[in-house]
Amino acid sequence: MPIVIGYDKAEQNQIEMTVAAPIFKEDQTVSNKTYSSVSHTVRNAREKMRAEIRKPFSIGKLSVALYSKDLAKDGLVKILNPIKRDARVSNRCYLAIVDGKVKDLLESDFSLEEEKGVFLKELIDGKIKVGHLPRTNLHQFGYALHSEGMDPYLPILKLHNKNVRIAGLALFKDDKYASEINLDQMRVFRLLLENVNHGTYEVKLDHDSYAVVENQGSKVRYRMGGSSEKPEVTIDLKINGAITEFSEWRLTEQDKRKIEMRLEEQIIDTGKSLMHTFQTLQIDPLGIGDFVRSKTRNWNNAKWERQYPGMQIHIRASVNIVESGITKY
Amino acid sequence: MDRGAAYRFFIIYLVMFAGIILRSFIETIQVWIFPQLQTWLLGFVLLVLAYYIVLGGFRVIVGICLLSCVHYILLPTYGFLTNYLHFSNLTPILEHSITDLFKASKQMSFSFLGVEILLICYPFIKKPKQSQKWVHAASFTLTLFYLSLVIFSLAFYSRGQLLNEEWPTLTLFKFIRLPFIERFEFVGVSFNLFRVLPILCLAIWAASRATKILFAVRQSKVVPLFLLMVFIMICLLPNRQSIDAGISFMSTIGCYLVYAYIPFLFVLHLFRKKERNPI
Repeated sequence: MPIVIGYDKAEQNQIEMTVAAPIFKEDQTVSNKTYSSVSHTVRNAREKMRAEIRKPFSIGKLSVALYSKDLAKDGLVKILNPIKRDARVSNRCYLAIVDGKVKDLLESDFSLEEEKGVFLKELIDGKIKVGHLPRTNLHQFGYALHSEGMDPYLPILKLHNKNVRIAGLALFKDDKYASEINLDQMRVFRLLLENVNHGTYEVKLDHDSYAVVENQGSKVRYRMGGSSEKPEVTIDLKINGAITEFSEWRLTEQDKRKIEMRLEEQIIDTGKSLMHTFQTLQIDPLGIGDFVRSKTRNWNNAKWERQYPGMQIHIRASVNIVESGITKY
Repeated sequence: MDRGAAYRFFIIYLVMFAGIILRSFIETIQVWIFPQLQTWLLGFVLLVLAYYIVLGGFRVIVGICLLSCVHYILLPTYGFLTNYLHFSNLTPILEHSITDLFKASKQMSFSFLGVEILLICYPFIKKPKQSQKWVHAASFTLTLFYLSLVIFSLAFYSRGQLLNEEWPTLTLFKFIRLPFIERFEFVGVSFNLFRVLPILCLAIWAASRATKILFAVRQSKVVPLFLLMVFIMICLLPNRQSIDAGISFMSTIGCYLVYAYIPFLFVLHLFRKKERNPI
């Protein structure tokens, strides 16, 4: 019963599948043993693996599926096919891209106490619940993939000094890896994507002073403007924040205004550069096309794809500091 | 119009209807829970159960029908999906042409079939006039239920995804995870039994009742025959394609039966009544 399965690209267009099988010991601890096999198809690789594993092999508990970046560049549909077909795999299963070789990641000892699959699942789960990772899972990947004005995205995992870390967000053009954004960009990306009520943002003020603002609830609204021939979209972002750290001695009202302004600037700058990247690569992870579709009669996908790279997308942000902790200063 | 021919057609239609309902239920069990399950085995067990219920008479069947309300308790589980609903999928409203809407209604009519059984049950209803409002209420509830299912499914899946999904409403259950049950779709799939069994019993009962009126035979004599026919029918539908073909065939026939033939009979009836009682 593997909880995590990984896929690498192997020679001659083959797929290498790696499974971290949990081993339950008598003292109630769990460890892992990894198995690998190579084949042209996923199901056949699994069949080959059966020859090595004594116990029955079922993927009903699969919680994380990892794909190497090389594989993702060729497209994921081929490899996702058996999972989508299988009635036993949960639609909540997380998918992630690995920077490097998946096999190396699964074979390393990044998890001391827990089973590796559970560890990875909780890592991703936690970052979605209290971090900056936008919500993704098997269902949502499929949703964006099959939607006309939307492209999927997946978290990137990376092995770093025997630790696994989330290194950013992989952006897809249809099912093929197209580009990635780093953690800082991912924070802003999530703000633009959905309503969030957690997450922290570092604000650089002048002369080497910094403040940290915690998000206490942000709302994002898309608005349509322009004509149907030349649509424009405005992304309106409202953040209620609390100051949790300030590197100066005293926090005045003026400082608060300044922090608000700087954070707005930062978000708009990053947001604009993100939009620029998306439009140049013709990818639409925010689902702006889907939004425009829902507001346009007789929407035409081909026409939209011509419009998208050159269209105007405005980002407006307004930050409102509502709390500053339990001290007055 | 030959009264016998209409009855005979109706009897065959009801038996086939029972068969296709049972077969598609067994198929979901095979795909979702037990891939190795033999069709005839589960079919046999359920038909024996249906035999027992149908012999119990109309009251027992009505009691079983009440059980079908049980599946409404699954409705709140859709609350788990709230984070994933995209209501923007519903807009822009009314983008489709009338012919599109008509085609869709014809496709969906299978879910609404079964009302025609009312024609046969009617003499068994104690106070038909007073019961009428309950029938309308039931029809309204069911329509509302289907509407909510459709809205949930449209908001949950993107267009392309919905096209690829074989059982969208069952796949919805794949998303629900409770602390004590990881695979909620098992519950969802099994709960369909409560929807299938009443229809099965009611259709077989109605068919046997019609036979009784037509040929003056005892109802309990023909029930085993019909059950055997259903049994043979489900064994003859081996795979997805044949079941799909069966469903679309039944839904075409049913659609014409409910929306064309029965209204036609009604008009004919009005006409004759006038003829018989000239003022």
